[in-house]
Amino acid sequence: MELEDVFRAFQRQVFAYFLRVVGNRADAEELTQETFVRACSAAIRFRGDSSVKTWIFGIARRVLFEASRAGLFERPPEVEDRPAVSADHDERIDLERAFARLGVSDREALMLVDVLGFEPSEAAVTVGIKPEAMRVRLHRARGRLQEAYGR
Amino acid sequence: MSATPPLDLGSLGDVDSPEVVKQALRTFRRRTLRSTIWVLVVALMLGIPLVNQLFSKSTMERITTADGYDAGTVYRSRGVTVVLIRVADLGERTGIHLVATADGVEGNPFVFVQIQNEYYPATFRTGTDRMVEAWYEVTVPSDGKLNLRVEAHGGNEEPERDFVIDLNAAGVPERLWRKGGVR
Repeated sequence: MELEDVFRAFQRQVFAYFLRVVGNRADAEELTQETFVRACSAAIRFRGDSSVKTWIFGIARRVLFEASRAGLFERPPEVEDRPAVSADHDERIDLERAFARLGVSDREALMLVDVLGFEPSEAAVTVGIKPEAMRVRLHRARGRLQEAYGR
Repeated sequence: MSATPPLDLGSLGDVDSPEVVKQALRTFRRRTLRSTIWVLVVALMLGIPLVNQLFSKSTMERITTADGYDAGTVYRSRGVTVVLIRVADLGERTGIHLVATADGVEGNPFVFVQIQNEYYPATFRTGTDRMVEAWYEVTVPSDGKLNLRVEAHGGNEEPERDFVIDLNAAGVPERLWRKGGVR
């Protein structure tokens, strides 16, 4: 499988991760691209000790960390203000708004595990914390999301 | 840990992703090319002087090995002796090998040499304080006369002694020092 195909397989997930954590499409696109640029350089050192998914998201996490140090999160997250077309759609917009009100680490934990399907232990490796700490973070994040969503 | 079932967040992953992979690959190639160019430029900047240093001969070696004339002309002035040992053709410039000694100066003098009113960078200078042996690259005036000043500091007299090194008079062939369009 070509490197380009591998990247393409993860493009949507990586973009979704950045979009939901950063909350801005332009920044998410830029960070996604930067992640794949760095993955090109790092590919030669990838020995398959972890899954490709964990490896790519590990790079994405470092890109995000550097962006946060450069002041990326000083801007409030955007939520698309689309006209309602159905009840499901309304519900989704509400969910996005509630999600956007969470803190960055809450959003990141929920994105990795509840949206992108990481095991909590894999998410812990990606974020660089202990699995127990990730479980606690997830538990609290879910609670805060439900509170923000009004359930 | 929580009694409330978690919300279904699957829809948050349902996004329209822009095409970034091709652009990322292009950016990677561009950065790689730029880094390679930088590495080459730095390597050249560091390497060229190093190679020059390794392969270029010192002025002393060039004067010794180039086409030249062993003059052995002696000049004396108030206790200072200058011996013009060799004149060599170094291409654009002329190589001068000389020894200056303050052997007749009382006290404990130390010696400096100027040629053409400048302290030429003698690329090699050796000897005791009382004697200097030096190899110079100079531009010889069209009349073939070099002004040489030896300063013998530390004695009881005025330190400066002036000499005129007349290459014609010293028997140095013109082809060794006369350059096209010289000063």
